[in-house]
Amino acid sequence: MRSPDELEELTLICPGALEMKEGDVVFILLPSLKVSGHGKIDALLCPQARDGYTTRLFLARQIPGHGNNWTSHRILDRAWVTWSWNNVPADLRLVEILANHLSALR
Amino acid sequence: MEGIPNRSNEEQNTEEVHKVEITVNSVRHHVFPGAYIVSTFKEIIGVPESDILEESHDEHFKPLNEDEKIEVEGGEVFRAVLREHEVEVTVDNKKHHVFPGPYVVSTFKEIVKVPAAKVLEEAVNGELKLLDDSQTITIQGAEVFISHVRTGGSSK
Repeated sequence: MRSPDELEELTLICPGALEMKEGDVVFILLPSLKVSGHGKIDALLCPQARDGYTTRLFLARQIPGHGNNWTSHRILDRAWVTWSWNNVPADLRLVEILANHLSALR
Repeated sequence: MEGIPNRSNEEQNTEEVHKVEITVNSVRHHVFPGAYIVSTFKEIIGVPESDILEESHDEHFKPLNEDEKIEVEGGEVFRAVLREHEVEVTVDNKKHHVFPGPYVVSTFKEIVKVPAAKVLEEAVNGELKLLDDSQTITIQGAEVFISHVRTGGSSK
């Protein structure tokens, strides 16, 4: 579980940010996240290690021309895609983790 | 010479515009008379954008708005004063109080105690905007910033 302060900070970027769990894995649902230059996209932040990645950001749709090695996933009964972007540490604040993943899409 | 209007000296003299004398912080300046927007006028007389320009009326100084138009005829008395009221900004979910006005990002990071090694981003209408250390931002109050180390990379 993340601290309420971290979630509150994340709502400055995405007002509908919501913590969810699937098994032992915590996710942060980010509805209509504004991705610079790409409009609003539903996103799912995984702020802990999963599939060999320290943290991950999943998106509802792929962003052509950005990111490498996109893969499909089914999480929380919904289809997501993500790209290969690793080594964003899980011990950062949620908003820092998000910012670092988004930086790969600029 | 034919084809060129012959103007009198009086007509020619009316087209010349002479600078007039004004006073800013007890120092005399010479500017062209006419209408100025305050923000432009501040640049001309060398008043920092972050200061408030005040004009003397009946021995009382009245603050001028940045977008206000003023008419300079000569003899006006101005003073530039530091803004008295700081505004609140949020940096990494913590409140900071700073004077409004322009800042170079690297200087702003020092003021709000963000380590130089971290990058600063501003949340603008829910969208993160990466700020370059050398760019200038204008603080008006209520801005939201986050700082973070730059991490992550494409895995093979």
